[in-house]
Amino acid sequence: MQRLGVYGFSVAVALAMVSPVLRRPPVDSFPLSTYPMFSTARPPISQIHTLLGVTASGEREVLSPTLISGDPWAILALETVLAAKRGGPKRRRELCEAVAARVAADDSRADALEQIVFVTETYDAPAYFFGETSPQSTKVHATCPVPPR
Amino acid sequence: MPGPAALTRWAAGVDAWWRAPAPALRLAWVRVIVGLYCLVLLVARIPSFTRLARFDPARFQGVGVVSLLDAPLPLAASFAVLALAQVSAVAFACGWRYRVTAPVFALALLWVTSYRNSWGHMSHAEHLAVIHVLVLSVVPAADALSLDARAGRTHARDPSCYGWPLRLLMLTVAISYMLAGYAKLSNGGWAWASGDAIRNQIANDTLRKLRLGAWPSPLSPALLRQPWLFGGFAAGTLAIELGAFVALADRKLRVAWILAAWLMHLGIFAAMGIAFPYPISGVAFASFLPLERAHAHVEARIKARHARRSSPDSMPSSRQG
Repeated sequence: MQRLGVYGFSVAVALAMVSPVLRRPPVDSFPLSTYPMFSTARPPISQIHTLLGVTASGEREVLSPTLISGDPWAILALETVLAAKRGGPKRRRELCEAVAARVAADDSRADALEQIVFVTETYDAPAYFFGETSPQSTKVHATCPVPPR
Repeated sequence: MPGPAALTRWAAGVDAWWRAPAPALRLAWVRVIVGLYCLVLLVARIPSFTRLARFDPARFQGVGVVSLLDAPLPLAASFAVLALAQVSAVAFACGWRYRVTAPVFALALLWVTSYRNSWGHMSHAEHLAVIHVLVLSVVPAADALSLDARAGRTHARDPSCYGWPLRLLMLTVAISYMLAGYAKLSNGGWAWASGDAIRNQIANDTLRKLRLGAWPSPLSPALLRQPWLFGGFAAGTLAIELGAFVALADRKLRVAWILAAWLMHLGIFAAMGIAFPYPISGVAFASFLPLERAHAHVEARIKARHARRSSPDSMPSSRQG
């Protein structure tokens, strides 16, 4: 490759790589990225959106990613819950019922759980690991029964 | 202000550094290592591609080249591109008909990885590998250690032709880390260096996994109970990311920086259970290393072993004894 071609190609690759941060607002895409992993200054107070199973005695139990999204990949469970949260009451209700149906089909959880709740829990996340494991507040977005088998 | 003569000397220095000669074998080894890494990645992606078929199509939001699509592809088409990427990855690693198969592989890999990242979650573990393949696909990376070389389909080139592609691969590594550091300062400010941001991030990530029934890193609860550690982690992370360009300048600093970056990724894995396999496997840093020396060392040992086996002194003799 001629010298001009070498430098033209090299500069083009370098400029392409920095281009996502030069755009306003910066755009994180693929394979050109702003590499924003772990960059946000998160406050200690953390809102966790999730779906929980409720037993006959009223205890709330954590479900698995597979029960929440139909897939064992945890990040997809998170994205599923976030999408439903953003999607409004109808989407939240639909996800709640889909999770309840998966629980009803699960031999290990169907008999133990009576209800599914879609909640947003607020925690002081660092304090959780020093023993403050109860949420500071809980907001219920949807409730649905686990259908009988 | 530097005069024209000084600028000319500086430009000549930059040119000598950027196009410094390098053995064809070094670039070839980078091609082989990156190609094999991508092949393993593509084979490992088969189950996740099967899963994509079960996702709600409403979740599809194309990124990069896949943003051309309004809706997901039929499963058979997705698998056809994945299969093309796998087959061309073998050709890429073997250096077979490289001028044709390498760009095909680069585009197929770009499509497959973009498609997989188009379902609401962007993984940042594959960006650099794809950029490396895109660069390798248009440079003479198969002039050695390839089926093309064995078949006489390559020709001798000036060694400077192999130096600048390696420099460019190194530059892409440095830019990606520098951008990650810049993002932290841009989003979190210098307060990010205090450690509170990364501590809150890890606490949030671990708690979220616990409440979604996923497995957090078993080390993170213990780490989170030692808040004093996080200032050091944050400052170290920023120093590694913003200082990535030192790896281009000096050989000793290069080794130190690679080791530090590798340890940083191990730390992220230990603290958050998030793996970046490209740097953790060392493949991301292959272009920084004099791989031809390892090749020569192994080749010399194999030749010595063959020589020992074929020498008359080492031949067992039926007349002895």
